[in-house]
Amino acid sequence: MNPKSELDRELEALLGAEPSAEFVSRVKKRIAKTPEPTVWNAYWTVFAAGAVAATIVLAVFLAMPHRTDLPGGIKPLPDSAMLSNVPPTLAPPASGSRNTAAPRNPVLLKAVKEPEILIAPEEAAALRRLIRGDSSRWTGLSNSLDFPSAVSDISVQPQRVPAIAVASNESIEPISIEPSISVASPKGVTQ
Amino acid sequence: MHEYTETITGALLSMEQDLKLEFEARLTECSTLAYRVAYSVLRNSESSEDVAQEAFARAYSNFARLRDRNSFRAWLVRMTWRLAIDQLRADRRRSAREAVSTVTEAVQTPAQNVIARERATRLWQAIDALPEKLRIVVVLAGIEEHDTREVAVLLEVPEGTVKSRLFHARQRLKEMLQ
Repeated sequence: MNPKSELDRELEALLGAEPSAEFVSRVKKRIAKTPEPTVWNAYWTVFAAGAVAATIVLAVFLAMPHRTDLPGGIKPLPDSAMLSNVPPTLAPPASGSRNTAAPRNPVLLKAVKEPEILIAPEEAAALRRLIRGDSSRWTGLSNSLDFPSAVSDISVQPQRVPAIAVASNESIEPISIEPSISVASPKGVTQ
Repeated sequence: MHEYTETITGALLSMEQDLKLEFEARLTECSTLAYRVAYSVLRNSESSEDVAQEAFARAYSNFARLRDRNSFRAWLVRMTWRLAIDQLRADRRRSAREAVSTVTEAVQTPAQNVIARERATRLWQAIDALPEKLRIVVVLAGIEEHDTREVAVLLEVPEGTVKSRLFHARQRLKEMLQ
């Protein structure tokens, strides 16, 4: 007797159980209660999944910040770096108090909300002083460029140039330059 | 436009009717297979029928989405197996399992009946002790005399893998039954 075939036969007998006679009819009754597998549902499911995926992709694309690429190693300054030295009149309202107070100067506020520009804080401060017209620490170019009046005020006085004194007992020895290597050839001597 | 809509609707309704008829044919064809797969795990007639019924209900709900209808048997077998495993875990404490099998039905004398019952119990215990990957191969090979190619199709694994697993499973069963 082959034990392997006996084992196989035993397994087949063990697993050869039969369902009851009413099993198929019970399953049919059960699936009659479940919603029918409509083709509409299948198509609509695929269509809805596609629409949702397209919406998500579009939303992500629109939400991405459109910044120009900066050279490697340069990081854009945070907004706070630009606005730290801005006087209260120029600074936009805090996010928490957005609806509490109206902006004082919409034009200046709009200028502050321009896209970020990489600029040193000192230069930014100087530009802000220029915009404010702070003439106490700024030399206006208009005064310097007023040529007719400026030229008329200038009076040129001749000045005497001091004589150059040369010591007579000092002599400069001539410098002699000699060739370091000379090569003789049929065409002549080359150095 | 209205005629066009009616044509499409009629075609879809006809497809749904075909779908239902096709599923009923599959149900008649695979009902015993689903029941035996569930029975190999649960070893209880009522529970096995319930699990197989649930598997058919789920299969019916998703039948329209099944692209390859030829893989229905494999799909149903895997779904039934998973449901049966879940059911077994839920009923782990339930100790009263039916030990009646067709082996005992063929036996005639009471003494032989007891021996066969013991043998069947030991075989079930050995099957239960197998890892799941080996167990399902043994069960599917034992059900309806599936050959290795058919088991490979049902499990969607290479035939060589099925042969290897079947060999190891038989070795272990023999060791445990000795």
